[in-house]
Amino acid sequence: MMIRDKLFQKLQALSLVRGMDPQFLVSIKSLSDDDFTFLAESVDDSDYSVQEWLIALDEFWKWNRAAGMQYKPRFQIEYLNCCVQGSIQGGGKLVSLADLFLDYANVYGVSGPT
Amino acid sequence: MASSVPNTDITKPLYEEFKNDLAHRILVLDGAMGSMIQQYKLQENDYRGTRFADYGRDLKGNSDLLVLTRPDVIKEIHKKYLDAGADIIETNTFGATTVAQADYGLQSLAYEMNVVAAKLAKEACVEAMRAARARGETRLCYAAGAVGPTPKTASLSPDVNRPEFRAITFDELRVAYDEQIRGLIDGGVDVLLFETTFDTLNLKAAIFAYLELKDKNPAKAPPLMLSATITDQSGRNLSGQTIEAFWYSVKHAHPVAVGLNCALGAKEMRPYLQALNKVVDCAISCYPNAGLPNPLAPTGYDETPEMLSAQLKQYAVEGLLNVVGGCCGTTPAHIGAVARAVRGVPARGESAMSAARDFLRSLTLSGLEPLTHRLESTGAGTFLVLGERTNIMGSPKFAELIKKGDFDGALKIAKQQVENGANAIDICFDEALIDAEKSMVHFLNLLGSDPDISRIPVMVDSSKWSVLETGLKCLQGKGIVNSISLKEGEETFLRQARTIQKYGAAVVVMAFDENGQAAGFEDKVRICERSYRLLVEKAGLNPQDIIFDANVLTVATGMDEHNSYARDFIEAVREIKRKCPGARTSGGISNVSFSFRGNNHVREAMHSVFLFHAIRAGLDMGIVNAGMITVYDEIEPELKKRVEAVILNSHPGASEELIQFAEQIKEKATAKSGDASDKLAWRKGTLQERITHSLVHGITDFVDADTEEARVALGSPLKVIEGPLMDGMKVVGELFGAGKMFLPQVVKSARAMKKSVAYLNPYMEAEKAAGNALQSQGTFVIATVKGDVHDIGKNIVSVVLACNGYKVIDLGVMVKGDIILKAARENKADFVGLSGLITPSLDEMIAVAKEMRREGFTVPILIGGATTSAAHTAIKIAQEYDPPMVHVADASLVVEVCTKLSSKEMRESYVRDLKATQARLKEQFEKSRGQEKLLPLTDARKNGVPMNWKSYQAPKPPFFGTRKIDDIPLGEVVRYIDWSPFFWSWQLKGKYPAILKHANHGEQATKLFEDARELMSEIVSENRFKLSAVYGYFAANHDGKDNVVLYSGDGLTRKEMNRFHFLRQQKEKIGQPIYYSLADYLAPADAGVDVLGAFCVTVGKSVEEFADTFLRKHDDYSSIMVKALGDRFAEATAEWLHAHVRQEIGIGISTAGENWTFEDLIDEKYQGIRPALGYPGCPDHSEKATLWKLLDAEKATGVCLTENFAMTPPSSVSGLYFFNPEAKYFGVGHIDEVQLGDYAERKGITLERARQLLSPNLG
Repeated sequence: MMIRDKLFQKLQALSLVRGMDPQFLVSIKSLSDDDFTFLAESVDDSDYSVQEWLIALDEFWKWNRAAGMQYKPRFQIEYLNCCVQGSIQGGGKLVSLADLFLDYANVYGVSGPT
Repeated sequence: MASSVPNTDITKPLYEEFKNDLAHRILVLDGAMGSMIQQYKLQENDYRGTRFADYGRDLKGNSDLLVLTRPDVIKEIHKKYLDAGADIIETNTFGATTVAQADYGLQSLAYEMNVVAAKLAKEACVEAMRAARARGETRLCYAAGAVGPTPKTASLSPDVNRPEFRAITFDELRVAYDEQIRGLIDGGVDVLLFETTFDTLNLKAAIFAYLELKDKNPAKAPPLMLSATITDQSGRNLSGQTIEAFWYSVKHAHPVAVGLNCALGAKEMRPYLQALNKVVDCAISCYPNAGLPNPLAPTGYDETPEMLSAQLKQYAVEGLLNVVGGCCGTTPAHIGAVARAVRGVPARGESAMSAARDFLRSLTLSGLEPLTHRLESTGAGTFLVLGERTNIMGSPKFAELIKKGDFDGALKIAKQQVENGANAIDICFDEALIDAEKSMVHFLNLLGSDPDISRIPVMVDSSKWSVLETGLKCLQGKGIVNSISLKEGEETFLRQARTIQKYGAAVVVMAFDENGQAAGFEDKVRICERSYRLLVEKAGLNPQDIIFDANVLTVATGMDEHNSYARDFIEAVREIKRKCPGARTSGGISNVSFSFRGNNHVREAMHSVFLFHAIRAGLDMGIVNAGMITVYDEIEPELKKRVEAVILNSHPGASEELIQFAEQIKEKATAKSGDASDKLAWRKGTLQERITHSLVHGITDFVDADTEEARVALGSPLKVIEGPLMDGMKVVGELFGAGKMFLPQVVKSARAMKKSVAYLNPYMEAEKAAGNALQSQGTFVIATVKGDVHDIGKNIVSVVLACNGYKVIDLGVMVKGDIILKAARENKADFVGLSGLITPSLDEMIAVAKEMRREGFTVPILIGGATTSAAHTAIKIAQEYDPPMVHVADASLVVEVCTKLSSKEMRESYVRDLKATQARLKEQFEKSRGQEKLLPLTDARKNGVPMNWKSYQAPKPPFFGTRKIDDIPLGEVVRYIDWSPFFWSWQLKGKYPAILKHANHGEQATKLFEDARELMSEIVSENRFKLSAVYGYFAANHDGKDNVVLYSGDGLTRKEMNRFHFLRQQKEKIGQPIYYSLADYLAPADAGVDVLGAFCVTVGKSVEEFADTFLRKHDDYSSIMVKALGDRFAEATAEWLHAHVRQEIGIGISTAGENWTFEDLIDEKYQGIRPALGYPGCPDHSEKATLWKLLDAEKATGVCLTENFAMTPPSSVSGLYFFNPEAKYFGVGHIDEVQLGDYAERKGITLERARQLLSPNLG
């Protein structure tokens, strides 16, 4: 099965549990093949699971809405990558990726292409 | 006829006789050889003779060859001139150099030609002297060894499209002349005549060769005559020099005569002879052409013997001549007429020479034009301005142009300096990655092609002797060498001085000796006097050619021992001028005002006052930015008074007074709109309003006055602090808490607060003695933990706490746990703060917490620093310590945390919530553990990065081993700075440059950025930071077990030198099943030797030193700013070096050149990676120990590793270079116990130690 299909299946399952914004699901589904591959690589390069990544992206989506911004999906994945790499210095995977994202957004802010 | 000793052995060289004759009468030189030879109508076979009968090229026209093939003709011509009355005949060797003979392929005959020609001329002279003796006459005749200019020019390009090109170099000429001169000396000439000089640089090469031969055997060195050719009515030689400039360029040869020949007739030579008469302190010669060329005349020239002799007689009668003769177109008849005409006319006498000698009691320099720096009877002369903008170290613009290879652009900078009135220009190419020698040659050659620039003298500037010498070989003028000193001892000093003499240059001597730089008056004078004695008495230098730079140092730094530096320099100048008569003094003027960078108004005034006094003391010249001096009389009186007090160190406190006044000046200078009264409207408020305003805006101008007013009104310093000051800081805290003030502003507020407290200190000491102590909010002991050196965040927190009335005990960096505990105990700490940036510091914090529990401490611990997090504090540290342990993410929150923990009302609920949050985090963490799947290590290793090693080509480094780069130019590195982390260190969120327009804090970010840029401008222009690096290339292979083995040398012997240990990803992948390890980027041994790179860069101690200068003035803001910039520079230098390495190893070029934008650099779009040891791809910090050994980094850069492998000084970056095109950054992530054990085994450490080193990777 293609990576895209794998990821989207997981996302759909998650959304049933977490009550994700349908618009968020649409935005993930419309990611390019390239971005999906990048997401998969990012997941593989981190200590976080696919679910944790998807939850973090959902958190990012909500944060975007609250901040009145809409960052590009590729940028969001890159930002989360940075959070992951940064957390390794701080003792590794200690919190969820979503919480990690919120910590970093609070301390360093978010600035990127929208 | 001649005043001579009858018993002189006339077959021997007559050096003394010649000099003696020259001193007493006008000597007559022979005439043209070429036109005389033509009269013999010699044919090809004459030139060939029997010796060259079969020679493969035509030889007709090679007149020098005739000494070998038709010596009879040459000797006959000599005889004709001697019979006509010539005292001196020239050897037929005008073109007898390898350079000229190359036209005929007869270079190998050069030496022989000269020997034979000299013998021929000498024989002719001896025969003439014997014949005179036979007649009962006393006659001395002299053979002059003629040395021509060669057909090539060292100062001019033969190709108009390539002005920097030269057909011949100084060294090539020197070698050729050496051979010629030796031949002439060996052949027995009585005097040497270097003639028809149309390019002074050619002549300087000949003089150099002569002086070297003279050094080796002084007794065998004939006296020397020099003659220049003015090519046309411009009055200059072909290479563009005036006759005075020419003389200044060559007088170091100490010729017995100097003059003019060729190109012009006698009549045309008058003005130049008159010019020479004023400046030449030896004999003057003149042997013009027989007028101008005339093809119809039998000799090809206009003038008859009568015409020529009449003109020359006139010159002789005017006292302008000592040697007279003829050049092109003259015949024995002309010489006979001249001899008769000048007989009995007194030679140019001692009075004229003496007058010239007086005139020459000056510093004489030249470009195309002369520069004469005379001293009046007072010892003072005109102040000379030395242009500094063509110095690659001091001028970022010049550096940039040179780095880009835009020498034409760089030349414009030189031109601007000349246009702006520089008397000489300083040229320096000391830069790590530039071939300074090549650049010097290129630039000077180019400069030489522009007469607008090359008219002034050049100062060749380098710390390397080879570069100085290279520069001197390009200068036809008399330049200045900058500089030499006694730093390396007397022998080197004297050797360099003697060599400089041979080039004829003046020399700057620094006040440095074997013990270092002279700072105080006594040392400056002592070293300069010692240097003077050595140079004058042992090296024989003309004192006028010595320029002492007694080191201008910075005043008003906050350190009392620096206050006298300006006065010491001025007094040293005075004393040096007295003790070193004839010598000049110089200095880098802008050094004196470094303490006031950013305040140009004050700096200009300081330069003006300093120069005023220094010039009066005798300062002769200086490196000055002319735009940074105000006219002394136009400085406003109040400023002048204060500046003068500082420069002359007239009373204690002078520096402080100027600093205070300077703040006002700065405010006035930076006011953009509105009048002064509007700006100071707040001064009309109440005392509390005024104090609050000062604190909120960080204004220090009125702090002392307002503090005193408060002290008097309230009757006690403590009441001032506890009252209006604390009330003001509360406003700061509220604004900060509300997000209306930002951290940089808070730190500026601290500056004003500290100033007020400093004012009150003496009064508080008195009160303390009386038993009234200040009540603080609490005592806070803070430290960066053992093994960690980073302190920017800690310093900010300290400032914020102090502003809010906390007593802060800052223990600094690398503080062991027991020291922290001891300080906490002794000071009865209410809080302990622990800071750290590197991962090992987290373990240190755990250790400190454990110890504090064991010793029964109950105070809260606050945790902060880039590696720390609320999660880590909750999950890893809090369990070790029962009292509250709080992670503080942001300095702005620390006061709030402390307040809540101190408050009886708030503490309980706060701590309850804290513990609950921490418990929840821990629970979540425990639940999430073990959920990911990890691939077995063996399987992961089988699925590393797929590489086609068969087609892989290992890079070819330029060397194996290491290379050091010191003094990396700051201007080079600035463009690599990533500014985003700078703003984060001030806790301003966002990415640069978008942060400057941030809706919330864009204005503050912009202000902060402006302050940073201003400070950075000073850092760059004054070279405040010292960037250095060490890097290396090592032959290496992957051993298949995630180790990279390094070999000695080029690796062909496969002798292992060291190894790095890497880890491999194990987390099961959802995407491509590639389990990365950095070791995968090196080829396995069977694919051939590969290359691994390594580096360490640092800003060194210069950051701390510069930051400390602000701390001493209680200026935390600038101190923290300096450290933040230091970190930026360190990172930028790492990028700069990586770009250099990519170019050097060829991957920069292969990827279409290094034309990345800055964003491309940040996004790492280039080939190759430079992971730092301790970071996600290679998380074990302890591997740095191997890196340090490989690079010998501590010795090369001064950077040490702490026990936890942090680098100190902290503004340092290190790592490895992987050049593989597939290399990318990644994180290793979680590993299992099998890999942990494997790693421990490979590394030869215990499992426990490995667990400690890799704890973040263990889940």
